[in-house]
Amino acid sequence: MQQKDLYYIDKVLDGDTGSFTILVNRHKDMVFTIVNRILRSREDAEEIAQDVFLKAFQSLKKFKREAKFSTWLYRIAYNTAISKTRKKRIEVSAIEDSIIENYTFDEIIEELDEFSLDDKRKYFENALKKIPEEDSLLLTMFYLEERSIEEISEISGLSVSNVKVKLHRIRKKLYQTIDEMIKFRVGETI
Amino acid sequence: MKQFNKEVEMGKTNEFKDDFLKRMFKQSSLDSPSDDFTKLVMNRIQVEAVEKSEADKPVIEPVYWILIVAGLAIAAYMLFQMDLSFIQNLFASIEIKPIEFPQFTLNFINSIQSFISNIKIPTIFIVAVVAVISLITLDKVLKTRFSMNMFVF
Repeated sequence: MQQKDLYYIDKVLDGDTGSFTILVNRHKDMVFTIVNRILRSREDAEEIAQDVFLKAFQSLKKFKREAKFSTWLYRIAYNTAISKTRKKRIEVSAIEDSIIENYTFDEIIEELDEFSLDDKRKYFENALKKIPEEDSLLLTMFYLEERSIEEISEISGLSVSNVKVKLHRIRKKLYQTIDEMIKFRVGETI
Repeated sequence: MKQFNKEVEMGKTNEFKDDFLKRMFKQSSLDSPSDDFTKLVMNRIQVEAVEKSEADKPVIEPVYWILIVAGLAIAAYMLFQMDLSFIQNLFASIEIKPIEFPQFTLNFINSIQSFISNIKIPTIFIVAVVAVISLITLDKVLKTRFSMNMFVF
């Protein structure tokens, strides 16, 4: 993937602007997801995602190839979206350790196992909506895009240890939310 | 010690939790922009590329600068009898061999020279002609520049 990206980057730098289409098509979904999850507006996200690719095109000569092209591009997306919301940094979600202390994940997983796949997905998606968008973006990069902690750190500008702690806390929060939803549902049926 | 215990706890539970979340995330998908997203991006890039190439070009090409400076020099000479001997000094070091023309050609050149010397053109007329030519050239240059940028949004 990275080698192919580099091939098309070279073509663009040699004057073949049309080759940038391939790079846009490859990365538009993730760029749009990053921007959309930070801005929480499809309309704004469309425009800002376009700005991201335009910025990338203009700065392509500055891409040093030390990191993956996608990491570099997602960092532009992240920074552009954050500056749009006038936030300097992703806010650390206010999850106190005391809230999640002694939380037993095994119990939640066991409870979830009793549900059908559709129900599991429904709980998961609803819980994901309840956590801050920026946090869900970190999880998306980690699980769906399978980015390493180092890459997420590079994209988000957070330190490696901060990303680790945040991922840990966000996961706990996500499970806690799922658990609350399950309990609420059980309580409702009883 | 507290930090160590935290890390051990993270390590113990991560594998199982990750597996569940990984499965769940794989079943969900990324957000997608509109169908014409790529087209819109590429349109903006094309416009950017045109604007950049235009911005890189000088407003007035060097050849036109030479013409303008030459026109101004002629006009200054005509109007104020400016001392342009420095140009002569500039080329003084260059030795140019006189060209030997055949007799017929010499006669022809002499007749043209005597014809020109008999013509009396007022200085103001020459200045006016130079000024008009300079203005037309400048107008042409500027029109070409602005008409190219007019439709770039």
